[in-house]
Amino acid sequence: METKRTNQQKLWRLAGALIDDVLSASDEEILAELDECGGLEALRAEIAADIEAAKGRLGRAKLAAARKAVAAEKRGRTPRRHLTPEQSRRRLSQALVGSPASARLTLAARRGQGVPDEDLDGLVEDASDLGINLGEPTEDSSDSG
Amino acid sequence: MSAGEISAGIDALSDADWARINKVSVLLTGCKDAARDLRQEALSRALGRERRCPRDVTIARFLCEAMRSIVSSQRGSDAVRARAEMVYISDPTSIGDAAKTDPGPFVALASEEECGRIVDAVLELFSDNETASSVAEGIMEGLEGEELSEWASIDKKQLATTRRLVRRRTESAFPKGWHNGN
Repeated sequence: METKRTNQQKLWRLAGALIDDVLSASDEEILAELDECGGLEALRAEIAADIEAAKGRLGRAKLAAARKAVAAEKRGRTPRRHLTPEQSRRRLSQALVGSPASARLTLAARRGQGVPDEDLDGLVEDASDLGINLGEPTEDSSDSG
Repeated sequence: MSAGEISAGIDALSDADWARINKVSVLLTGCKDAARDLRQEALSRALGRERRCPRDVTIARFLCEAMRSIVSSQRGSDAVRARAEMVYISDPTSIGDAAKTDPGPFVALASEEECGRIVDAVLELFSDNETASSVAEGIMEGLEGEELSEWASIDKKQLATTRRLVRRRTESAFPKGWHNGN
């Protein structure tokens, strides 16, 4: 009793004690009090609405989580530094020489030729998915095309 | 419990269970609208298995403690939070997650002054009953069990009866919650 409680704390403590009492009360006692909450039918209608809303909430949360996971995966697959088309072609070609995984790519991809510039990013990602390490681009002049 | 078991358990809740869940949500938030949001959030987390329900805990109790834990996380009340965590939450990290996901303002942002008026109004309900008044005041000061019995000069059985009286009168006086402008 030495610590002075704020009024907010007092209400929170009272709520806690009343909740403990609700949880320990018998079913008969709780049901007898239902009229004060608007009656049994009103309660049932409210609860049915709660369950539907909760399912909707859960669905939205799962959708948001899925979107977040896809976005995170995309971020993880994006090269940290952008390569020029020529750098990409050279790296792909060198990395795929003698690689068993190269059999799973097209001939054009293995040669790094004939691939439109706009498809190169996708190929780099494909190679990365196949476990082919293309290394990090450097400022090295040999990579400058 | 598996997701299917939790879903089946929720479907099988009795009217008394739902009445308890309803009462607890109103007591925790002090406001009908926030209470509805809180119930839905707790149900959603249970159905999504964001909170794990131990097999030896009933679904009704689990949902009530989940609501208490959600509100407690928002309030940052470490004592109540720890109790809910120790007894009912098998995965303590879920409490932290609850706080991180910021489920919404379930706790009414009542001013200290408004809370003071409510405290006075609650105590006034027992102006005709010194024992009940002492018990209500003792609870507000954080007393429990034997300490509370001693404070109110009553035995354990009388304490249980008086606590019930305190709850019944308070709920009757604030049927929509004490922050709901009853």
